[in-house]
Amino acid sequence: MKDNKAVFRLAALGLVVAAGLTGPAKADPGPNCTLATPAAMANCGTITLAIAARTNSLDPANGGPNTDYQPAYPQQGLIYRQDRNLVPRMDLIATESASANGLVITQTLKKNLKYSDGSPVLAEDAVFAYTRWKASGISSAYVAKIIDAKAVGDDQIVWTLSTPYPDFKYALASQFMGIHPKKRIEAMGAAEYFKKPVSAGPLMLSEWTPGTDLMVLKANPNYWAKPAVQELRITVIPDGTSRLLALKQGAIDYVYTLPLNAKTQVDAGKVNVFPQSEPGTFMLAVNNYAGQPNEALKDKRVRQAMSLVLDRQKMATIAFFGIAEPACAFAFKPGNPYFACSLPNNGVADVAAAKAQLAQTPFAKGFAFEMIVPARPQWAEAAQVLAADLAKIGITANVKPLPDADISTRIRARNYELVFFRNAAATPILQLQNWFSPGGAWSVNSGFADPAAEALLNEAASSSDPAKIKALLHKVELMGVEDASYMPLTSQFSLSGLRYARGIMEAVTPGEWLFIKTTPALPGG
Amino acid sequence: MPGGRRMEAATTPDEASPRSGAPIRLFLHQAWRRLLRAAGVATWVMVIAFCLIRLAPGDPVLARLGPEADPVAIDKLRRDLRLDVDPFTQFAEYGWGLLHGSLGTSIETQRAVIDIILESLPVTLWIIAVTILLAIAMSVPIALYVAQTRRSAVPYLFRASTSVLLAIPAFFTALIGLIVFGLHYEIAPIIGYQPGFPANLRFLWLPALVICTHLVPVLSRVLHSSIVETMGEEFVETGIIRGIGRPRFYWLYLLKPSLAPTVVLLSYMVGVMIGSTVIIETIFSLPGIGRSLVGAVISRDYPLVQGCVLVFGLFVVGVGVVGDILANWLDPRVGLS
Repeated sequence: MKDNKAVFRLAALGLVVAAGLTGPAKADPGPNCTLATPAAMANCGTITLAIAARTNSLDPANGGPNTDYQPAYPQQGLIYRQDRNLVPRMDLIATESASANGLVITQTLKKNLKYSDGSPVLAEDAVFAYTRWKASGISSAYVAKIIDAKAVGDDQIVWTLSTPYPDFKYALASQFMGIHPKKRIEAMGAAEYFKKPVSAGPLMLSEWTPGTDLMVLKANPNYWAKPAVQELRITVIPDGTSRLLALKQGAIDYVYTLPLNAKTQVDAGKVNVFPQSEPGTFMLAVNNYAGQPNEALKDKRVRQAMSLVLDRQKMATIAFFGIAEPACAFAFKPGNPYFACSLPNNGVADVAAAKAQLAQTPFAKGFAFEMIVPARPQWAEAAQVLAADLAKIGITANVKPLPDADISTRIRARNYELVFFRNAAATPILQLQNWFSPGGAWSVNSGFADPAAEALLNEAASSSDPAKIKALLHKVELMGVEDASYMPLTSQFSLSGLRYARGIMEAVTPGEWLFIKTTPALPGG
Repeated sequence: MPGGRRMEAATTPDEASPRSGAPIRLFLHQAWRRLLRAAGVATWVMVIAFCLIRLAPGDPVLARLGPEADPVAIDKLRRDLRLDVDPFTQFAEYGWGLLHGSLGTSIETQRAVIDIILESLPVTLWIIAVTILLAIAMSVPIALYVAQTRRSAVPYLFRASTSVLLAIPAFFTALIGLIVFGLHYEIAPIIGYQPGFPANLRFLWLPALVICTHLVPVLSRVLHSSIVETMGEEFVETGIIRGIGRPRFYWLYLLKPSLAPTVVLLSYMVGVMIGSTVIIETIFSLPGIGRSLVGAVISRDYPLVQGCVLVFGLFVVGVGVVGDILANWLDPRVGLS
């Protein structure tokens, strides 16, 4: 018995010693980078950012998830760069001029631009970036109106457009347009080059192996402005709760995606948890292809009744903790100068009207259908709230949460009845084109495309008159409401957490691009 | 088992070991057959891994580009990844690569799968090693104490507490562990794993402790039963009468004759543990092979999934073989077949 006690004591001592030797490593951005330091005064040493998955590629022409292009954004050269308020600002160019008809745009690079290794940034590199993007086929709608891009000398880029293109700057500010040295990529091959690319952006790569947990970026001494962050350590924490705990512990300084209950879990004096509205809309999309097995969903009046009965406010409150805003239109609201409500009753649920509408169809007694939904945090809960609403008019929605890969496969195979998803884009025109123009991402997915809507959107995309654009987009919205193949639900959002003041370094949406404060700031930013 | 370990009263368990008279050649022959069988199992694991990931719904191209991707981009990537060829050709190419020592290239990272595995496997092996050490360090004294105690409440308390621990899911224990040791006491890091001994122990002790909350109850229960059984043997009484020193008595008379079932169980549990590490590595952000597998499954990175599953299979089979050999060494009556 005596020996047993000794063994227990030894084990306990071992645990205590082991525990004493350990301790969390705290992130330390420096004394001038606290929650209380105003962004204007901040000068941050090392900031640690947690993302949800490993970065696999820094090649802008690879597509890939946000965990690829988010870290890539600050270390790539860009003609235009998104500022903190989602306005594209001139980055590597000093001037831009357009021909009288707006179809030829000439840009001149800033003088003496250099990559992080000291080699010059050339106009041909920008053209090469565009060529690679176009060849990749990724988000082709963004570059559909660009007929040609040419380098004139070392510092001029001449773009030729098929029609005036108000969203041109947004396209150039996207992650796909990352500028890297043409000659080096051609010599090394893209796969090899992008393992350790040079940078024409505010930060440059210091340490990283594709598919691993840590990436270290440092301030690029050759960038034309001085970044407010000297070092950015990007670490991977796959679990949402662990991300929140690491933020509370002080092991990290910034998280872009937190669990939705995070707001109530943190000490507001140490961590700033805030929601960010994104230019996107949660929605229901009905399969319009011939293979749609559900007769009821083929009936426009049924779909209208379904849209009428949905309590968007309840979904935003219950499933999204009041962070989301109920939708009254298809297009996103934040930063959208053309926004106008288009849903009947401004999107507020009207059960009586829904019942009356459904009564006019052969499905007045109700029907059942399958609603597939990505198994992401709170998405399935949101779908369940909608299912409860639909039950009020006798419609049974069987909610089926699925992994993302399965959802994508079923959508592409047109093997679904109705899907809960979202539609996000850089601009409202691009977002509506996703839904209504043939070739748009969601029109391909759902099989719904309206040539009339496309004509209106093209007209809007070629106009420079804001009032006209707003009117045209509203017409498209009303066509969408009438058909009801898509049912907008709430705004898209994310919940972020910071241990320093806002405005120094954070992700800006819709691309979740990492914005880095610089001195001087982006022109006009 | 009762009566199965009866030995001459005058002998120690080692002196009575049948190994002393058994031909080594038979042992080697059995071990060789066991290894051959393991190789067969590994082959099947490879085939099943290849088929399963392709039968599962989902598409690596769509997983990477998303449902909003352009059809042109989808077709291009499919061609680039050689996913446009039929599955038989894909399998032939995979098998040919294996024969040449290549597990292929990861679709997501464009890195050799073998490099990713060699990078992440040691982390998982360290978790398992620390867990086993910790589990043994806890299970043996607990089992000995409970088996020897005369307090009637202790065995009941032991059974109840082990049942409770087994009923709590590992992910929940892990989160509680992070909150208590990471946030409250600040003695456990939540992120920032550093490879290399002994720096890695700072990051491994808590995950290992969490896994132990499932492993220790099972091991200590089995070991406790075996010890209780062994204590009924005549040679134990002889040992006591002979006045054998306590360490020697505990090892030779109580533990060694009782360990074989526990070792076999442990080798099986290690197989289960490698599954548990998937959850543990995710919650503790440890860059082990479980995390690589989860990421690969989500992105339908076929070559990486195949590689990880193959390694998992080989590991489980290998540990099983080692477990059998160890059990046979501890108690030669435990056959290798």
